[in-house]
Amino acid sequence: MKKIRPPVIFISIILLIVLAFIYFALDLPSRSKAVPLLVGAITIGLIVLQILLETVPTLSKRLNVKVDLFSEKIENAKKKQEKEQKRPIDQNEDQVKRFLDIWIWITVLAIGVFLIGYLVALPIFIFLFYLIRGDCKWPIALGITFIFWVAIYFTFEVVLHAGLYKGIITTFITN
Amino acid sequence: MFDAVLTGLAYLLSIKVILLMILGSFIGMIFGFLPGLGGTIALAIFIPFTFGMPINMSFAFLLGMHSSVMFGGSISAILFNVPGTSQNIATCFDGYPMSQKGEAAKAIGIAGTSSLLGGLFGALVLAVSLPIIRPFIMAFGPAEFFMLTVFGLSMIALLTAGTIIKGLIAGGLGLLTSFIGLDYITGSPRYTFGNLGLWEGINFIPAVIGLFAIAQMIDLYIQGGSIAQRDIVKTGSSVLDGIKETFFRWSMVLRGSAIGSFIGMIPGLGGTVANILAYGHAMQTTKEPEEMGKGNPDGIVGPEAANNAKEGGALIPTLAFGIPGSEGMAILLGAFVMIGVVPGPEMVTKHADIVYMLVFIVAIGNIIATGIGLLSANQLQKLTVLPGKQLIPIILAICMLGSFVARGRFSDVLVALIFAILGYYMKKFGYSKAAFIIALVLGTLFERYYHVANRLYGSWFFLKRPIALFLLILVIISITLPFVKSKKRNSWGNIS
Repeated sequence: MKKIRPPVIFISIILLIVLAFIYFALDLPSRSKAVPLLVGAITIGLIVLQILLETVPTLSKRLNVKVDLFSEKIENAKKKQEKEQKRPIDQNEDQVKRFLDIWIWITVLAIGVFLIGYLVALPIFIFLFYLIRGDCKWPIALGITFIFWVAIYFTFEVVLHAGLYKGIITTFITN
Repeated sequence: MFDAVLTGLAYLLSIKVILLMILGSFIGMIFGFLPGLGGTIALAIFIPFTFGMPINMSFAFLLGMHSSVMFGGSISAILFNVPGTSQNIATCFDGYPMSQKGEAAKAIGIAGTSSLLGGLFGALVLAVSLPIIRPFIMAFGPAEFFMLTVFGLSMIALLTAGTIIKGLIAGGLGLLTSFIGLDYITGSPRYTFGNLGLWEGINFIPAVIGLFAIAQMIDLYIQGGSIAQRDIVKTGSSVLDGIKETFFRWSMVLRGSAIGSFIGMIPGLGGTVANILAYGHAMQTTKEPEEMGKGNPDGIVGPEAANNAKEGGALIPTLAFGIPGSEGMAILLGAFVMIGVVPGPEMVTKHADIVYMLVFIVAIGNIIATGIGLLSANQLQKLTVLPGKQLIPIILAICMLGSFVARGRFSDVLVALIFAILGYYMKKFGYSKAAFIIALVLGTLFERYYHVANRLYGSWFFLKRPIALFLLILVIISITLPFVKSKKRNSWGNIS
């Protein structure tokens, strides 16, 4: 079975999102849905065209949809960039690993902020990131974390009275 | 009049006032640098500190601070692809690529000098046009505002040269996203799914932070290394080159400043629109179009001159009619009333000295901010050679804070993360993030002014109003001109 290429998967997801926009617009009052439906319909047409271009390579040549706005310099620069971006397969696998790795860090940070708030979650995140991924010695990681914590506490709590999000656990405990 | 100018200047000739302006400029730059804060929040926080101060001192501090925010925002946009304020968004498009090429100091030099010149231009426009501007501003209504948003949206086609379908898809998605929230015309919620937090729509700040900053940090982590390579920075150019480069592009400075002042004068559009329109204009007129989005100085000069010139322009309706030209000006208007000066038509006749004092504050505030920024540019550039792994946690933490503090809602952090995923894949598969963000900013205004103009003047409103018609012609010219130029160039190439 032929493998579906990542750009096709991405544009298909965008197609589903735009279809959802159109579907949920149908129940709106006529004045409210007019512009979203119009924009949605045009976007769907463009997405279908893009999917065809991605899946049928000969079509792109036949339609000649490249808009040569500023001479061929742009196309040449793009080709050069694409050439530079082509990597061996093992390097791509490494990229997927790194992508998952950073997303785990970001997700854990977001969950941490949600549970224990900014003033606790951010310093823990920074300390652990420097220690585990930043290859820093723990006194340096601790020092940077402390300086950052003092800076955000002073700026947002003391000066701005911004009332940083405290997290559901912290709020539960303090109440 | 000359007496009023001298009296206005005399108000500022005191050590205390100058020190307050320096303090204000410094605070303004910090508020601009940190995403999610910006000038409006800075003014709201510091207005209470000016209670009881004489008018010259309070406005030296407040307006000095407000004038410096833009340049502060451009520094984080250039160094980390994190626009400090929504009005620096276009600075990311070419500022960050310059940093990647090891030219961060030069880019800051360009941004600083353009901001300064734009600010001075705005102050000059304010001084000269205030007594005569009334009929011009009154000539603008919903039909003209609609055509201005169309003009902004037409930039999407230019921003996506070479991959126009992908660019238009990104623009369409941005427009659809801008429709999330309460419909201003019918009052019915759209795509909110019963969530009250979505009634105000998608907040621009977390969307930009996710789309540009977090997505960029993910990319930096995956690619490894640093923003710029150490050896490139060593041989790269300095802040002085940036200053020279800006003066070399004086025509772009003037045009960007004119766009900024013009947009500033019209209440309801704001600095983000000015910034985007100036970028679009730079794209159309630059001599190196193939370099746009890859570190073309014109992509910084135009937008930065525009967003700072806008401040002078925004003071015009604020002072002349008491109608604030921007959110920041609305807060300043409150400060005026608090002090006992009521802006309006009499401002020019009865309080001309105060008007000229404000002109001088805008001008001097910009000079101070640029001085601070340019002096620190070479040091700031060193941040771009720090290993990504040491920069990423701090930037991510600031992004998380910035997404939250804009409205004080945790849901905005989730919005930033969703847009980060979108931004990462948009970049990976060649969809224009700039087109998406332009549509997101202008979408709401586009729809609102369309409905209001339609109701006021009928379906063919853009043909019935002379200025709207003129703007329509401008839109058509601006879209077709690059195509015509390109065709001409190609046919000449074939002949030769």
